[in-house]
Amino acid sequence: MEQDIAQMRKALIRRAKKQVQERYSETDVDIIRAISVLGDLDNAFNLLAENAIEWYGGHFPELQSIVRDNEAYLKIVKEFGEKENISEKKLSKLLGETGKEKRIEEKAKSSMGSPVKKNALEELQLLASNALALKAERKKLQEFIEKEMEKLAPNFSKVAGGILGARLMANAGGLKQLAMMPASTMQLLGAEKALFRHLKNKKIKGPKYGFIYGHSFVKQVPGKNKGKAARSIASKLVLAVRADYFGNKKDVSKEMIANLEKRVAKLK
Amino acid sequence: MFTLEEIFPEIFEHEGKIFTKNLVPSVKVYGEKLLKIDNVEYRQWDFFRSKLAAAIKNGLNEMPIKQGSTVLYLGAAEGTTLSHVSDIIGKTGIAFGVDISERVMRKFIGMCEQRKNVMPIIEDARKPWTYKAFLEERKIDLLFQDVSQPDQARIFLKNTEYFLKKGSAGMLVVKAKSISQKSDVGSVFGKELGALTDQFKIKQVVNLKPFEKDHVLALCEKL
Ligand SMILES: C[S@@+](CC[C@H](N)C(=O)[O-])C[C@H]1O[C@@H](n2cnc3c(N)ncnc32)[C@H](O)[C@@H]1O
Repeated sequence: MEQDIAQMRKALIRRAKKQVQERYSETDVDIIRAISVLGDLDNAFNLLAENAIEWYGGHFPELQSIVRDNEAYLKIVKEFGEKENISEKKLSKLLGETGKEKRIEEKAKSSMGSPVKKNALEELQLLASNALALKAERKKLQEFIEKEMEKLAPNFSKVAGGILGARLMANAGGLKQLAMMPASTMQLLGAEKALFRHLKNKKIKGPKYGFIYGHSFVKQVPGKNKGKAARSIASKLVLAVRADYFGNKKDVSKEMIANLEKRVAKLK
Repeated sequence: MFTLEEIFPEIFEHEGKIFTKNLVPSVKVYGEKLLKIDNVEYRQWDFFRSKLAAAIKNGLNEMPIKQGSTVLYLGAAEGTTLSHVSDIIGKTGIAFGVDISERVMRKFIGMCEQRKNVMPIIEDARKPWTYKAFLEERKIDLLFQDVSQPDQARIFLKNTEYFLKKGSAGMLVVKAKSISQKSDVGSVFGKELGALTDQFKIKQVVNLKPFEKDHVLALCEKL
């Protein structure tokens, strides 16, 4: 009997320690890594895409002005190869109805681009599919970050949005640092360069927002009010992250978001 | 001469302050005062830090926790109160401390490593089935709850259903503020405790003023 209790106690302590570990030690580290990789994947994708687009531009120069989205462009390169293979029907299958299919086919037929050598096209298509693979990885990574953020800091990630929340947290150095932060600092996270410039030379205006500029609510208000919107959001974010860090998992995000929506409506 | 009066089993009073015998001598749990008399070390039990201590101070007339008791404690937090419960139940008792927050439990786990009669369970007290297995059909002498949640009475009843037998004791801390900011304190206590009367005989309701605002501790017995 007494031995049973001793064993049970050890097991319970082990279990509780593991739960604490899972909740705190690793997750913010993984997210911080992942958000940095996300930025690198974006850069790498853009670099490869630009190269591929320029290369394919010799063969089908008209395409770039019709298809602005890099991912869609690369899909066309990968799927069709020579512009002569492009057809309206297959295009809508590949990209969904975009309303541009017909024009692309027409332009392909009347293009002033020069023929492309078969082995060069192979290289080019390989480049396109590598870039697209990076894009796919990026999407997966984004989902990972959003999911982990939701687990680590549910209130904060709902108010900020998963990716923006992760950026803020990475910039702060971790969840704990984020939870200790005053709203004014939160508002300017990501604006360090502008802040330093301002501090060095007071004639340059100080920044009004950092990463928060990317928040959907800031986007909805006109330029002159963006600073105000950023401040309101920052003040809620601080409360949200404290609720996550110090609180007991209560959902306080709904009320905060409703509050912000009202505020944003006034600033529009 | 320094004299301690045993006001409940293993709970001692001196000059209006109360103490328990330190199960782990020379170790403090939350910065409380230690006191040595006749080679026995006592820990002062702070009325402002522990609602159970406040209830004792304010005239609780029965103490269901004794040497050897098995206690299920919901809302363990950092274990301030539980550390004294651990002193009282001694080596033959067991206390299970449940709390939903990993943050507060970090400190509590450290305490469990030193006090062999306390066990940490990180779960939501709304879901007793998640920790039922750990209690291994043990008879629970006391269900203590202090979770500051709006549905505190429901949580208490849910756990009652799982763990309490006829005659077992219950202690529920009701925080009126956590139910509704507006309705007046008295009626909230009434409403919350009213929900218990089907299952419990309510023996005493102790107001925790001035140590805690808008709190009472209800002592009850399972019918
Ligand atoms: C006021 S504190 C308890 C203090 C403790 N009784 C003492 O005197 O040392 C309330 C605790 O309840 C916990 N809690 C809140 N909701 C809970 C739930 N649903 N299940 C378990 N614990 C909960 C909180 O994490 C917090 O630690």
